[in-house]
Amino acid sequence: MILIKNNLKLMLRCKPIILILLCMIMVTGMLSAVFKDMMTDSLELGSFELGYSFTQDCVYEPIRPVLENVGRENGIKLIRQEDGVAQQAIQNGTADVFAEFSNKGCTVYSSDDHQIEASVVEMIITSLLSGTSATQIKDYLTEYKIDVQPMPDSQMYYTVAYTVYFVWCAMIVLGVITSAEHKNKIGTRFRTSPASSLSVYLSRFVPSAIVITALMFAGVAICTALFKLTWSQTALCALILLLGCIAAAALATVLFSLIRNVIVCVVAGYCLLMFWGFFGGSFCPYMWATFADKFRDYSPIYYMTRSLVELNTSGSSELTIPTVLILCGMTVVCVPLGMAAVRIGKEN
Amino acid sequence: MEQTTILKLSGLSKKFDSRTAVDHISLEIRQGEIFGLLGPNGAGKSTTLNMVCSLLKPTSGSIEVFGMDAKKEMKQIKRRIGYIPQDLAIHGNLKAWENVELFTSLYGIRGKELSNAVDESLEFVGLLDRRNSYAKTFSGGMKRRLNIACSIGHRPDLMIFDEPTVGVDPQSRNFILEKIKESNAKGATVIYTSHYMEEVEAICTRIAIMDNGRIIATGTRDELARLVTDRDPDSVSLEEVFLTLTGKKLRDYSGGEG
Repeated sequence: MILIKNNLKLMLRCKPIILILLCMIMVTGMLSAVFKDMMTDSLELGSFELGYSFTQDCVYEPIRPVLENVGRENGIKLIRQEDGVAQQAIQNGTADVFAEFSNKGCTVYSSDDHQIEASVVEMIITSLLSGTSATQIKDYLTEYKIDVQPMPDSQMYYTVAYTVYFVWCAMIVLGVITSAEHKNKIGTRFRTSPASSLSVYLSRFVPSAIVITALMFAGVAICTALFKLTWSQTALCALILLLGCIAAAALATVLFSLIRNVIVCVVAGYCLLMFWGFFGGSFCPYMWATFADKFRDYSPIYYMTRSLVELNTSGSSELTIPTVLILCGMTVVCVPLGMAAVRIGKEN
Repeated sequence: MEQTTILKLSGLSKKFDSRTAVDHISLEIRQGEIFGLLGPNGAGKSTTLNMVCSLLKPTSGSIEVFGMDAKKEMKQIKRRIGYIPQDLAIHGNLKAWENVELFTSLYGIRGKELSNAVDESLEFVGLLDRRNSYAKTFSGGMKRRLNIACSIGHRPDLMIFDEPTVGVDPQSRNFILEKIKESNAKGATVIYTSHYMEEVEAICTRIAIMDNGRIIATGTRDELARLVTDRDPDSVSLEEVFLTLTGKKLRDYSGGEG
């Protein structure tokens, strides 16, 4: 307890920690302002025209009424055209985006200045076709309800995205303790004392979790007040964020205990977060992402960001339970790993 | 009456790759002694002490502290040892009392006993009036004294000082030496290493001289003097004894422990 208390004091007395909070608010404010128009545009789906065609005897033909229904509800102007004219339609400007259905699947065409609309169309078509085979599609469509996720506004999206991103970036707070221990040769005291590895582990993990959580909630509170945001499913969102903070602290303890060199540790953490953030929707909203979905699966940031965004826009998310399980799983794996790393460090 | 053996080293060795830092040393330190460990740089003093404090694992040999085998009962042994490291091991961003509290708590001391121990330790090293000052604001001598306070809060029976007066002013050095004698008078056994011969001469009741990883002589100051000269031991300085036994050749080891 005394170890935890004093390590907490060491963290809180490190003034640069406040930079994490300031960065989070500044980046959120900046990006939400920069991308405000773009994200607003993406909400107005009626502002573009979607050409589409089906090859003769195309097995996907039954989705046509559903596609038209989606277009009508979202204001997308659908224009049925002959097969094989996709590129011409784009070049002539008779359609902003063109969806060409054949028995092999669907090809989406668009010009460079309608990439966002093309992504929206891809998202809708993927939603329509996912989980179906050509022979099942008729049965499937009779039960299928198209659920186009409402888009968040840029301030909500970036508040969520950068709260999540900075929760993981805040792992750096543990560096305050480990670098102080390294610089001041405190390891000698731990190794010559009868203190257990568990108490040393907890003295790193618990203060990190507390400080990351405090920074996160402060950041969320300031952004909410600043951007006048309204959160829905508040308890669930808070739970996901809290679990994220705990998982981040657990991961930080593993990294900082395993890699003794603070600089190497920070670089390793930075690379990991760049990867997670890139594929997780921190830098580009995940709904516009063009890379393969499999990369997202390795990013807890993606799960957190998407579930929080969906909870706030549609009140529920199918990723909520996977997100909770992933974060709990990370903590469960990282705690024994961290303890082992501390024990090895204490013995050597 | 025979005094209890506090520390017994038997055939203790430590190798770093091909270099032998400590070479089959055997030594007994008895209760109530202030035992000086002398030697040139790289003689193996710190390596020996590091093995006693379990900072290093011996390559061979055995260590018995308070009659307990260090391999089997290190946790119990650690509770009774106070190791004052050569390098300052204190947090600059913590106040003096917080540092002492933190490191004393590592020995399982809690509550009122802990707060008493903090005040006693700070008083012992003359820093009670600066208990609320941050360690980073202290002078070199004050940091050394705080370093000591952080190691004695649990009231150890065996205190190991590894060159505790390096880089401090004469007043602080004198203060530290006086406090070591005071601790010894209160019952603590002390192991003391230093390059300052006059310090060792002033406080140590028995001295071992190490060179090239071996103990080449052990005894009281007078016994060591008689090893190198037939003159009156009082007329021979410890430095003269030391240089006669270890030679005047410069020792500059690099890599491994000293």
